[in-house]
Amino acid sequence: MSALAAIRSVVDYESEVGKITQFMEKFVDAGGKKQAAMDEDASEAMVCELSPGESPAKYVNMLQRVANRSEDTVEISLDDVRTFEIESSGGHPPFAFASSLAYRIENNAKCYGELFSRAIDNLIPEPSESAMQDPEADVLDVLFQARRDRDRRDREVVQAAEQEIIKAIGTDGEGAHKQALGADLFPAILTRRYSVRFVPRANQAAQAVRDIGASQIGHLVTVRGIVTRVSDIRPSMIVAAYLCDSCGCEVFQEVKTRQFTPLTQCQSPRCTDNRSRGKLHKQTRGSRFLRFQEVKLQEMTDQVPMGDIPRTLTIHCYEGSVRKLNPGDVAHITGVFLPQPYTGFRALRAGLLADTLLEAHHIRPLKRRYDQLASELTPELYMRLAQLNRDPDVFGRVSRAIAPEIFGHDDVKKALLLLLVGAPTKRTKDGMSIRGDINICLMGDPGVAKSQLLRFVAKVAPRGVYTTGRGSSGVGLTAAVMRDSVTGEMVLEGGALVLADNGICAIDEFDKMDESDRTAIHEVMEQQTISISKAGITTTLNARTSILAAANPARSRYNPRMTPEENINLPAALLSRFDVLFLMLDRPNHDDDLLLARHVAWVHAHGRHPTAADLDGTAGAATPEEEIDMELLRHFIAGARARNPTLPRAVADYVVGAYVQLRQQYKSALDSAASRRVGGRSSIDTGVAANTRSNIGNTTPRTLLAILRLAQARARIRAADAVGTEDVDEALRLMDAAHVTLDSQPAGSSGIFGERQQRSDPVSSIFSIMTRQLATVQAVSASRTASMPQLNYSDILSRVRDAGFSEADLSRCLQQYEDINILQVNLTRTRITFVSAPTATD
Amino acid sequence: MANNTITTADLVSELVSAPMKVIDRLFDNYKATTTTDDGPKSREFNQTVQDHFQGLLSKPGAFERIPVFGYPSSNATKTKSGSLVRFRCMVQDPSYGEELHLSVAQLVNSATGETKQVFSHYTDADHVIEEGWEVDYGSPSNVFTERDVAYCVSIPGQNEWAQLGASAAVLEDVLGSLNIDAQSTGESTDLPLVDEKKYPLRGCEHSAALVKFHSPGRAPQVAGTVDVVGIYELGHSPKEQGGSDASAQGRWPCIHAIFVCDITVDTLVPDLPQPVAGEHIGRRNMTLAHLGLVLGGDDLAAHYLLLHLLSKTVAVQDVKVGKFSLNLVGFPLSSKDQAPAGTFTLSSPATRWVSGMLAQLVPRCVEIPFELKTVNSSTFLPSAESGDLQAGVLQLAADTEIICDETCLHEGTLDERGLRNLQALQSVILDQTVTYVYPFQPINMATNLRVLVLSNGKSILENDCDLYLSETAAAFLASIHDESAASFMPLDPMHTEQIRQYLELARHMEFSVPTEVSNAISDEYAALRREAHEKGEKMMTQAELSLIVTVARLISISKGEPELSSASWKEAMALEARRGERNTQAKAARPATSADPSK
Repeated sequence: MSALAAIRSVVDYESEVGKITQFMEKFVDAGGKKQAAMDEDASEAMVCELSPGESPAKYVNMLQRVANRSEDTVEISLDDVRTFEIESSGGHPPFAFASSLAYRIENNAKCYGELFSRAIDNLIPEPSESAMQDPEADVLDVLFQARRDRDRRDREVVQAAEQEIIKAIGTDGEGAHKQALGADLFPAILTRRYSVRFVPRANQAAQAVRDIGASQIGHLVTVRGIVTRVSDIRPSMIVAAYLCDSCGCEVFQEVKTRQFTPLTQCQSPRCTDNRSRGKLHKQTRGSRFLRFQEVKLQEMTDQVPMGDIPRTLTIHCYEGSVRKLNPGDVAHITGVFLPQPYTGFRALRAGLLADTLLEAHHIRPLKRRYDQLASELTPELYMRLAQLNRDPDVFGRVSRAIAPEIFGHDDVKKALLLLLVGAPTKRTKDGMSIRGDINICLMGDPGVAKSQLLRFVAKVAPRGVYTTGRGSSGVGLTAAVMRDSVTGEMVLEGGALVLADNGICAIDEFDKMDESDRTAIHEVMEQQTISISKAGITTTLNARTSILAAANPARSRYNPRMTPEENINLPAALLSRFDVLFLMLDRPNHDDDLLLARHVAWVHAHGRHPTAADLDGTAGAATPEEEIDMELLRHFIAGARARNPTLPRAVADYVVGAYVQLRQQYKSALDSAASRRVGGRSSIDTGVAANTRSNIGNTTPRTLLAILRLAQARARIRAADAVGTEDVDEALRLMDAAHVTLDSQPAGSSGIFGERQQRSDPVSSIFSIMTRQLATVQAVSASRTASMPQLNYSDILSRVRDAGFSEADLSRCLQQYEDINILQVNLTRTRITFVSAPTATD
Repeated sequence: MANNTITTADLVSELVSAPMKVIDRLFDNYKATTTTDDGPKSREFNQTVQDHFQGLLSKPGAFERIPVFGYPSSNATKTKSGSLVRFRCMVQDPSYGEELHLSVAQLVNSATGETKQVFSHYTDADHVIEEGWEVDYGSPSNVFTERDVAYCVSIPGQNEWAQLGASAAVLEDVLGSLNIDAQSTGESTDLPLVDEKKYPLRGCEHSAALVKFHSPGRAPQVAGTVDVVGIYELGHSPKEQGGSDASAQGRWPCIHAIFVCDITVDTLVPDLPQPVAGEHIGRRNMTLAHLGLVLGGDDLAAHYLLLHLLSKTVAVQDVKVGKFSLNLVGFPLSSKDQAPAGTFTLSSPATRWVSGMLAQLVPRCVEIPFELKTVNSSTFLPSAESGDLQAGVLQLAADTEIICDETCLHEGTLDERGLRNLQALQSVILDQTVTYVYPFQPINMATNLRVLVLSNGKSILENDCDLYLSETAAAFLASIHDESAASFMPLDPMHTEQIRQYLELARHMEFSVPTEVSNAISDEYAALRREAHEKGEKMMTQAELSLIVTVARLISISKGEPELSSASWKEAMALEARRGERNTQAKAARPATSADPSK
């Protein structure tokens, strides 16, 4: 219940104008002071001289620029006002903010805007020489010139007659006369070529729309929100000019409300004296208009309390603040919170109720939302963050806080933390940028909580977007040219990848994605842009995003009988763009199963996620770790992202060494595969099958960049200034860990980078024979569309025998694939039916 | 101002018919007792009014005498401006924001120069101001207050028995005795407005009002349900602005809330005493028997249906626990040419039978027929793209039963909108979230809705649990015609009330899982998995485990046990095994064409 205090302490506005004038004349900012220090004694004189570029006083320069028409906004920084006050009071005693001019401005901004304008009117200098030669005189200049000329003529006529009177009365008559001719005629606002805008103090906190109430009416407030709608820019009349058709007198009317009643009858002395009732005609040329734009600001999701919906606020932007915002922008808007009486019919009924709006003074669009997090850091969070950073196992601890409801997958979580933190993006001198965002692909069996990991990451990242490869329709992943429903104009609408600019785009069902979208992702993943040429619009949008993809293996379950390449089923061009590829398989493991079951039971029992100590009674000896909630995690990531670790020479050499070694191993693997291909008996299929690391193990120059990125991200987490060799080791380990999950398949392997078994087992060989046969059959019969392709059993048997396998091998193969629902054999064993058509692998 | 001679009944009827008079009297009283210089404190007095009303209305029978706003809908036009009403409603749009309002006004008589204070807290109209008096805006004794305005609608899907003032007879009595003549009040001639776009079930009859909440700290939440007692009048919407055309400005029904209260079990079944501890089992058996009858004697299905009716979603950080959406398979396909009964009513006799029976038991249920036309043309998600929050079908009050009828889904084209709608429904089933489509930032709102899908084959939606009905049940359902449904009346009102109370109480029970049980479950799960792996069978997944724990939990709840017992866990395992068996059999028995090719 806010009973509005009607009367505040009495303020002497004339003395305030004096203070303001003093401030405008004398204030010297940090840059100006340096200059002033060089020629101390000359500074005073320079203020008076008003020579542009040389004066140390910030606002004097500004006014000069305004006079020269190179600027039309006078931005008064409240920080400057405050600094000036403290300095002029000698710095001590530090008087309370509540009694300062800056405070009064903040609480009565609209009024002080007018006071500042009055001070500036007195101070404004003549345009400097160079500006005078500017031939571009606009309509107002011409009109003013005409008016001045006319006034001078009038005065000359009158002067002769009045000369004697002045002589008789004394000198003060002249001043009075001038006033009658000049000041009454032109409202001050008509001649002003500038608008006064206040810049808020740096430490003024941004509020949510719902926090602004009746108690802040007239105050300078800062709100944060998302712009949902902007109107066209329209002229808003502030001074209406009229011409009287009988006396030729110009009449001005100041417009202070949104609607006004135009004058119709001339009020000039001549008309009133003659009672001629001159009719007034509105003059568009002589009136003054402001650029005006209406903006709707909506609360952000994080400002809305649980279970509530966002509120909106109307923002009025004038002159300099128009065209600063676009729909979808997040911004801090500082302005004066004003009531607006209802107009029209509503005013008849609701005389006591008023609408509210914000008159924008200063607009600061927020582009990077991690920055914004830093400003929200509370002391308590700061302490917790500092404590966390001191922990030697900070990497492990924070990574465990990622998706705490999911068990195990420690390495995956570590990689995801690295992805959230990312490496700094580098920009070379010629404008080429090297991506710092880390891309990760998770591939695995259904039901291993890939989607949950993705959702969590998208939720943690301030600009995280979660989408599915299939689900995104319409705008899709990239961008689309759409017709705006309100205005009917063509607009470019960003898809998930554009929305996730400077954030993370989590794409589920990556394997089921449209081919066209997947092609666009190639560009995003390396160049971090999206190029569009549609409907006559050709443009490139930024999409500096990390991609976190999740995909199912080719036949939705990982088939250990097939090569990883066949299982993964994604083009190599795409795969090589992922820094890390994890394979998450669902294998029974008593301990893990037990833990998982305990976890599920715990959640049902206690209604929250258990901590490690809750589940594991034996680990009670260790000190219980402080739980890292999402808020702390976000701030931790924001803090880590702010660091920029360097790469010392020694470490760089170390990376190079590791890379060269990887290349060497890759080469030998390729060689051995090639040699097998030449001499092998069942040449092609075993060749393909044996070279299981062909795509995943591809060591390309991109691998080198990936190692560097991962190492840098880890150094950021360690809060280190430089990348250490241990970071590189961890990066290599994580990349290997991803491969280990691949290679520890029953299909057999002799090591991470080692040789495959020379001869693959008959089961997979026979299956690949069948696959190839199937492809041939389909090609011949052109029946690709048939949902369940079939093969002749005897046909296959002869081919299998040709390849040197027995019928027993064949039936074993059929049995195994029948078990995993890939094919079916009819009872009489004459036909083999493929349930899910295998994709041709070559 | 002591009216000792007046009986309570008289006071109540005065309260109902002329609440403003009562408030004015209270205000005079209040002014007389407080003589502070700074004038009356509005908030303090507000509390006095609220206490007075609540005190009088808590007398037996008093509450029922207040006319119900908008029920039956013909009454909406009869309600007299300035009278006391009650409204059981759902907050559809609380974003009308705060209104600044002069609640204690200083009046000046322009002719005589006299001054007086009036209390205009519960009204916007200026009829409190008599001829010749004007508001003195400059007076320091004016008191401004802020209040929240929300657009409220009658709760979508509210069943007849759960309406306020279900006893329509009493209502008619009261109206008759008060002698309110609809024709004599001028205002009743123009119908109160309702915004069709702001009611979730487009095309269904409902009532709506702008409710002005005066009590501070009680911010209405979107999709929340409350009983509002307040003063009715016609006013203007703060959202409608601009345009000086008087005819375009509608007059909206407003309710100035004097007090609000939550809807509790007691108000739903007022005539029943609280059940004693042991009664749960009996009630459970009765409910099971009844549900069994409804489903043609299918005992297993009745069990699952009961568990479904008892389910309640509990949010655990980002995981939702306790949800249990059910898909009953085996309903007869409705013929294509069957005319749809309405947009949100079911057409097939069998599904209508089941939903009609459930409507007797749960306070709110909404029927969504999966007719392509309906799915393609309606919007399921609430949207504020246009600036004003428009309701979607899924903007429902918590604890609403959604009955989806898939038997009327026929071949055709599902357009983009339809697809989005189904996706929205799917996310309700899986995540229990409804997305409010705000420009640039969709907002996910947690809900608590139960989804029951009735279908012929396996549903196109992914549910927590699906169950094939037994053949006898399917045959029974296929035999239902409109006439047979009318003649079949299995339950008397007393028992119906008991089942309602049982379901409500069980749903709101506190529940926990003891450590021993959870450990036992964990061990068993791990053992089962290992066993299955050794035998080469399909292993139990995390999702399956979650489902069984949910089932066990609901079994315990259905028995009135406050914590999970091992017996329930065993029962859940057995139940799940029976379900698995039934489903495999049913799938095998069905012709191969109807089998899901992806399985």
